[in-house]
Amino acid sequence: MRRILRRLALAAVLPALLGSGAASTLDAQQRIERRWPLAADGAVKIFNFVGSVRVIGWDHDSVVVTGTVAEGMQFFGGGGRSGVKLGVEGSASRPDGAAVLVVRVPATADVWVRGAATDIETEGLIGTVDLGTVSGRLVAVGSPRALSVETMDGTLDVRGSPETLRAKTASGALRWEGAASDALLVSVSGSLRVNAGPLGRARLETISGSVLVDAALRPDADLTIETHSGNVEVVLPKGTPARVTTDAPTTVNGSPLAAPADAGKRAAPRQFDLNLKSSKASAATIVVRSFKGAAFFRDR
Amino acid sequence: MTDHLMSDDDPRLRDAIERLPDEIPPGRDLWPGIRAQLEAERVVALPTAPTAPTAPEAAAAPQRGRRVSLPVGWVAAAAAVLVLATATVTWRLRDPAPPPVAQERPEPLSDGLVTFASYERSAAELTLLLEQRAERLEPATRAVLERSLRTIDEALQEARDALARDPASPGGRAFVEAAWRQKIDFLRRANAVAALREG
Repeated sequence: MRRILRRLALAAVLPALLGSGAASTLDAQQRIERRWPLAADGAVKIFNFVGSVRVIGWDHDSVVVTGTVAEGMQFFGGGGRSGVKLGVEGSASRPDGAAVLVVRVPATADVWVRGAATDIETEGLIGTVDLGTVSGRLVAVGSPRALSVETMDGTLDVRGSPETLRAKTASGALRWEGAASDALLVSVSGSLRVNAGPLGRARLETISGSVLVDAALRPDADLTIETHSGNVEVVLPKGTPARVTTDAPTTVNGSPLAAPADAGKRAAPRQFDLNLKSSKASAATIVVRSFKGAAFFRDR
Repeated sequence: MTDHLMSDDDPRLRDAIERLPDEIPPGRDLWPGIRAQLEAERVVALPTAPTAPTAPEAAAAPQRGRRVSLPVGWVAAAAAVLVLATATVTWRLRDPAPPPVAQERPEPLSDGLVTFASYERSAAELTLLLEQRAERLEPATRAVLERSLRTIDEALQEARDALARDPASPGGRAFVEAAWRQKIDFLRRANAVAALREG
């Protein structure tokens, strides 16, 4: 009987103990939920310097924010039907003051997000999207009209086909799966990896990062790859016609191109055709420039 | 006309004069050829007006005094030759002769390396701004920026050295330019990050 009573007492006290623990956690991380009306073509600006931001496009004319903010941090937000600005104040000077925000916005809205040690994710946006963080991971899924994404040290992952794409990292790796009419991918030491297609006009630049383009090209595609010391690999669907200009030591389907005449000096740019039936046939244009990297072309 | 001379007061003469057109375009436009010749001789850019009217302007100018004297094309050609002669004399008298603006080229250094003065200026300005903001950046962020800048600077130095060793190197200048462009773009981005942290 005594044992039964002890169990009953424990059963009564335990939830209270657990509850107080949960409550103190909630106190340390304030829960937030705010909403504002916003026109479908409105703009949203989001600031969060530590933690994460996830932005989801939806079919409602409103912005809804849920999430948690560390104790001592102040969530702010406001605006009208044409624009809403929200974020977490004080996080810039508090590396431990992480905030986790999930923001739902009209899918067609223009979205701007800035963070520092902040992971940023977006999905389902079709307006103009501009994302920037310093050391956080950046993932953009979907096909906005224009997408500009930038992280310094974090990795950058774009999965979708924006009309125009601007993606930049410093040391973080950059990966893109999708198509675009106009794309600019830049990194200092991070690698660029493009599994996309078809590409229209695309320019890829690195200093030391390697470049891999494994993509279909439009017949009028204009692909330029410029790197100081990174190696470049271009993998094309079999039979893709292309006119190539390169000044790097080049290998095509495993066979190296003839070495330059003046050994010890930089080779003059060389031109060669891939899969061209006639000189007048339409073909993609590919330019690979590398100061001391090598170029590899092969069929997929 | 007629087989005998008419006096100035003769109404037929006046009628004939009235019927003459106000403008007589030249059979062929001589000005493009004249201009090409001027530019081929690298004469300083000529002011377009009022000293050297173009052929259409000359043709459109109202005729004063005697209504018809010479074909307008000849007038334009004569004016151009006069201007050419004047400009040539001026050209020869000038000392020293600075190159025309359109012909301006980077000044070669002693080692054959062309200057990239505007890039250097922009980079210096952006670096100064970044240094002023750097103390507000977190150490980790600062380390990332410094590391990337070192990578770019090393590449820039390599490209500059290569160009200095072999100024005729194909694409040599382009690699230096590419590294400068990357550096300036990166400095802009770094400044944007630092400015954001200030706010």
